Amino acid sequence: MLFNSIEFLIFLPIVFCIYWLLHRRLLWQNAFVVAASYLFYGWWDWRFLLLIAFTTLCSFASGIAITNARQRDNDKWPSAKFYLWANIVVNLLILGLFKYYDFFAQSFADAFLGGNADRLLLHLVLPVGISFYTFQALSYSIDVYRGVIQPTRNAVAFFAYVSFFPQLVAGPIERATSLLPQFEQPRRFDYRTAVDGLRQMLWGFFKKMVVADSCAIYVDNIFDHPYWFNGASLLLAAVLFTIQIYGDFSGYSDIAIGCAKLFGIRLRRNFNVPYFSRDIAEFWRRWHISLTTWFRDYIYIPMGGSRVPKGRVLLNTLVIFLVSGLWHGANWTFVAWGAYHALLFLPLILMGRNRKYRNVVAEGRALPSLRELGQMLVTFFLAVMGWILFRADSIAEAWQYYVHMFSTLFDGSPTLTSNMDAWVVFVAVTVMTVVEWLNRGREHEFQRQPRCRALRWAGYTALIFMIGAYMVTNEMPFIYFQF
Amino acid sequence: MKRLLKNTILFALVALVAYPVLLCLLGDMGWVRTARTEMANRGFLNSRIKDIRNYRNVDVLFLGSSHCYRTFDTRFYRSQGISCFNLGSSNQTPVQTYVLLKAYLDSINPRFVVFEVHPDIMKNDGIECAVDLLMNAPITCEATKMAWNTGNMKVINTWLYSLYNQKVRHRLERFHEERTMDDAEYIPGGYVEINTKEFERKRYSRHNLIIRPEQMEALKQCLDLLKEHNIPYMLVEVQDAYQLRSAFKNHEWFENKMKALGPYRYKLLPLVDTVHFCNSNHLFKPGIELFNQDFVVDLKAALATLPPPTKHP
Repeated sequence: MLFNSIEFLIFLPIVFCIYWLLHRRLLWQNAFVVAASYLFYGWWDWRFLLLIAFTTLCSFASGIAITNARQRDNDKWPSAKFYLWANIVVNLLILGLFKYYDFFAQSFADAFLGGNADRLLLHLVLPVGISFYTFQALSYSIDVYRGVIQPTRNAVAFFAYVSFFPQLVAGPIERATSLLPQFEQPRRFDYRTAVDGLRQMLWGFFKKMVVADSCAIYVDNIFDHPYWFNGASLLLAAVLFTIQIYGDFSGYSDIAIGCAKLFGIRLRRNFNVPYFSRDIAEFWRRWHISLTTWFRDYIYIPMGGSRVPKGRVLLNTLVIFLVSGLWHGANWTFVAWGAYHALLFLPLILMGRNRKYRNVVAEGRALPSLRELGQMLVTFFLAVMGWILFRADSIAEAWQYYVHMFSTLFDGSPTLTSNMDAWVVFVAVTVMTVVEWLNRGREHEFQRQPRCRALRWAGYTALIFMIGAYMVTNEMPFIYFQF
Repeated sequence: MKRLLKNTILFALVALVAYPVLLCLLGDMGWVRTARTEMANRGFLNSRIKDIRNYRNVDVLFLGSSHCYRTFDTRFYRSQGISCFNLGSSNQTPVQTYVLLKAYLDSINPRFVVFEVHPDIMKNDGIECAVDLLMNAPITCEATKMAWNTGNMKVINTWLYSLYNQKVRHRLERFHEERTMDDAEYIPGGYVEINTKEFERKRYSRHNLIIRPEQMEALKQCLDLLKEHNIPYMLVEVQDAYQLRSAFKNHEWFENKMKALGPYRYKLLPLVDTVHFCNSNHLFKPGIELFNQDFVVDLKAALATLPPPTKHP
């Protein structure tokens, strides 16, 4: 089920009402969350419910097995480590089979069999959100092994933790340390939190349905036929894709976080105005935060983190960027995108400037200084160049895109699809930029509201009207669903 | 919780009032992307809907998309002694045909219906025709149901705007559509004559035809309605240019689907793409002439088997 569908518009109020009717019975309430989440997920393809149930069950069982092994005698086989690795291997095998098998088989065939991979390929359908819920399930067993969290014996709460529908298919990737306890304790309805959740959802819908989808019309047209257009059009398409992917993914995160607030659940922040960053290191602290911190905590730090010699730090960072790229999809373009960002990031480590900007830009001021503005524009431009790799279907296509863009950059002004579409994009992006700038130091980008109720409601109505009157009418799935 | 529900309901009421007001205001200025706000177009549905009042108890009613109103030349059939009306409209899918039948079948009271079916139309979502219909035909209960059933914001916004257009501003009655638009001319009786040929050689990739379940369902509903009124019908597929026709991989499958619904006619005439076609899926004047001369024989044979007409007052 998509957030931007009629089905969800009906599903959400029903689930919300029943959920709070069950608030005196925690077990029933959690069981209802699981049922609603499985319905939400199964709406797309019910067969993959078995897969998510299996992943959940493995992680749940591994948590108990790890603790039992430890209590018994850690040196005796099978040890806690064995159970941890068994769970990691099973989960990664499933992920690898569905997401990466065909990719590596094709790459192997390209290298050694002259490209003929017909016999090797499985052509499996990629289950929606598999990377997200697999990582979430894995973090639990790792945290239990590390002793950060006690294993739960409450299977219903654990199933709710892995399958909680707002963040099931595209994150934020939650940690058991913060989400699981919320399912183990009774939730209390809080009016302010619920209203804030609705507000955040509305902002998310605006970003997805107006900003991202409107940009997508132009972007798809140009990226499908780059040779039909001049360099200025290609550059504009790259800029618009940069905005599209942010609107799409951060819009999804806002809807997910806002939706969870309706159920009294707090999810972690996933985006923190990344395009207002002053360098790439700051960008990565603000972009897809739940994934970058996951890689930091479960891969980078176990590899030694930054407490090893500089050469090793650089290698660790490079590995994280490459893995992070590959996480996004089975294509060399994603790996190249990761490598590109590593190339921008590594010099900052060498110069010891990777942690320079930890606060929000222009803190306590209305406008940035000229220097900050310049830094933001440069960082944005660097991100734009990277997104071309991310959006292209192959490295060769991306390369041709760069070559054609720069070689014809001054061959006239950009081609626009229609006046109406151009205006919609311009107004929507301006509204988004201004609102996010004003809210850049807050918990989310639509938090600051006028005190006067009439003004507040006028703002909400204007947003709803913009969604209704300027959305793209065909249902467009979220980009990150494919990951 | 009560406070949230109370405020949500209150806000919903405010938004329900404000939304249509903003839509109509900005719609008048042409500043709404997801609504059609202009009435006239090359399908001439507005003229056709006004024209239909002049036709009662016809021998034949033609229904369908642009293949219908650009092919079945009502002047030719009248010259053959067959009274008729062409109720085709741009991209008309069975979903919209049902709305039109509900509104006009009783008044026009045909003896026979020719239902034009085309593979491209059966896979169409019907949005283009839905907004055309809402802007140019009176909004009925059936049209309202159709608009909301699509679940498409463009259709719903157009419905809202058209409601204001028709009920507050009475623009539907006042609006006069020009009978000629670019190279297209509306001929009384519903036919549209196209005067320029714009045939282009194109390569279509081979593809399988598909039928949307909702279109199939609506087609069955239309045919059931005709059966209820004891009106015999014929499903007719108008020939496409060879360059398009040869791209259909499973046309036989489509034919069988249509045959299962009743009498179905798909006859290939020896036509030449560059001579007889206006574009890949529309006949041009020489092709239209040949098609109608051939089709009228079958039509006359079908009419001959019918009992004498019962005239409604």
